[in-house]
Amino acid sequence: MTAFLAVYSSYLHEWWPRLAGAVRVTIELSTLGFALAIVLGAVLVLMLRSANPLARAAANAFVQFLRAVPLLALLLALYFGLPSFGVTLSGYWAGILGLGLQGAAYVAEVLRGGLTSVHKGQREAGLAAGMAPHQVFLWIVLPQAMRVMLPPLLNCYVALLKDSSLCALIATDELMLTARAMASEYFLPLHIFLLVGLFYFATAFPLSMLSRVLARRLARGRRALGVN
Amino acid sequence: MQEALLTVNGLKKRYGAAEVLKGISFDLKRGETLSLIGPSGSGKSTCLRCLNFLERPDEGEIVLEGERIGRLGSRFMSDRELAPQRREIAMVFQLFYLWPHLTVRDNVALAPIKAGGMSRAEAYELAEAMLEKVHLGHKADEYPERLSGGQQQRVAIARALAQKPKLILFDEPTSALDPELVGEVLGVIRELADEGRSMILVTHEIRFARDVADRVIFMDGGHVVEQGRAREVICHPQKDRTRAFLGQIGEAGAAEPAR
Amino acid sequence: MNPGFLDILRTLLAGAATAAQVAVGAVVIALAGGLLLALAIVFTRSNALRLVIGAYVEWMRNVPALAHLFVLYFGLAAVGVRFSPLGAAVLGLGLVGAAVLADVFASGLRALHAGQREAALAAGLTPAQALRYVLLPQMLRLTLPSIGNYASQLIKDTSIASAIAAPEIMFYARNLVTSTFQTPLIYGGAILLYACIVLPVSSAFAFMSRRLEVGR
Repeated sequence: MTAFLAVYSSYLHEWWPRLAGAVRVTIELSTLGFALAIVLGAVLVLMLRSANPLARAAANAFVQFLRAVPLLALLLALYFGLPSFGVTLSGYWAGILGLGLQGAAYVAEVLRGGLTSVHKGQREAGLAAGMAPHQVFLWIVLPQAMRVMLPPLLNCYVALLKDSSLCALIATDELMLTARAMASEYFLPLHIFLLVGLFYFATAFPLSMLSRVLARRLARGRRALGVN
Repeated sequence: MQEALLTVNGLKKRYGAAEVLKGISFDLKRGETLSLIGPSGSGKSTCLRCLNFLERPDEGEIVLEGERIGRLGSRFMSDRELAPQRREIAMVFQLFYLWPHLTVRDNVALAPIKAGGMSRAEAYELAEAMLEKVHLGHKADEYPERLSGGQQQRVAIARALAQKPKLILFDEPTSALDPELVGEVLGVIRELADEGRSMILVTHEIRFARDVADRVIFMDGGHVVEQGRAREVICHPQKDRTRAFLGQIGEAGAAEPAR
Repeated sequence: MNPGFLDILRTLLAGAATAAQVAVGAVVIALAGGLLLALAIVFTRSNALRLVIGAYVEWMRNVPALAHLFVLYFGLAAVGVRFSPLGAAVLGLGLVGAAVLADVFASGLRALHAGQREAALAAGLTPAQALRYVLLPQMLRLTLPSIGNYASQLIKDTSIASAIAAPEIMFYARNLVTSTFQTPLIYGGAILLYACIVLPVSSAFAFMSRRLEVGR
């Protein structure tokens, strides 16, 4: 055991800066992918709730399709397949696009659930008071929906953090790829992969915990309010 | 003859196969308190909700101070177009529908700021004044979930008053309250009536309607069956159906027995 | 050397068989492991045990599956424990699945009213019988949608095994791409294949969940 840990004390100062730089890329991938997912997800929700049956069907098909396809297949298709159609993306941008597309399907469901969780009467009271529909949405419906949506959105971000590891397989210089490279350089795969696991854990765990705490507080609050 | 504040003409509404309103017409004078009473399913709430177009009537006209509500020419207005008209008509709901993410003060001030264009300072001043009016000034910083049902409904009334409306609609304001909390809400409504506000009150509290309302309309099966001065209709109902309804609830008037 | 779409599909289907093997193996580990862990979390009196299991669950769930597979396949090989690609994939995905389902089953068990267990014991059932005849059936009914979600996710996650050279769909796909140049067709075919597997599975679970709901 001590021999195992001793390895870290010898190499950590070399490994840390390289891994820390790679962590930055991982966070960029996840955050940009998440931002794309939110934007696309919002568009999907608008289409899902629209009066136009064509828009609804298209959005539904899109969501169903994305949820049935593995992220890796999507990433490989975007990275290797798109050039045949004239679009060449770097691993970085193919990764963000792939993460964003898959995230969007999930985000759309979360947004939809959040919006329907707000009681119809809340909106009516706003309209009856003479507020315009967009004002009712912004100041009454959205704030209440956010409380319901925040925990699952946090979970989505954590999922994207983990999924960014797949970008290693499309030549993106994020944490996992760096780990692979280092593992063969130093011939210490076990130590390096466990350390990298620790990096992911340190980033993802606080967010998952936060999400759980928020969800619990939300459940308590709604019970106190009873009706509504 | 004083010109009517509100004129309702030939209101009809159907849900699928069922015709809920079969041609409702009545007037409301300025400063009058009108009460709509009747059995469940008679269409009273639907009629009320048509007045501020939360429900769209299939036929009929609603005119407030000479202005047609809800229609532009032959087509219906959108919610956005309705907003200015709805400012003039306030509604108090059976389930209050206070906004749980806002404090009591913000609940009352929100619409004046966003829809009425007031500054936050002005709106807060107004909110505090209206909360004082309903005897809840000291609760301005609380969140709705910490208030009793009766207090929440009074806040809802303060919210309605803050609109400075021409007309206030009450949709069974005490039906969702525990019996001991009903009195405080009715007390506030009585004060508003004494002030000379124009109000339409859908309620099951027949004794209250008799004492506080100026006029009463008895509705049944989507029709106006009987209307007149509150004391007369409730104490001396002319129509059989009215008598049957009042007799059923055991609210047969004051001193004199029904003829 | 220009295979048509059907030839491509046939090659990919060979990968599907491997993917199925991985999925079945992992699901068995996940269900059994998840159930044991959940029972331990809910019914143990030892705080230490709950902490240890909790740590395991959190570690498995907050670290990417790819990392777990690399640890098992490359990492352990360096200290003398060698897994085949298939073995590492089944074990890795199974262990992650056990953590996921442990959470699902534990909350399912907790959601059941405590009175259910008490009533069973009061009627003379042993704790084991109470578990088997009263608690578990209800819990499975409650958690069926979540199990369905997990199953769909697992089928998709088998694609990750391609990174440790397990001969499943994506592995064959990438080999095909290097030997022919029908890249869009190949990846398109792979995606279609996954969709054709996942969609029926999730629909089946949704159907079953709905039927059990109605039965209540």
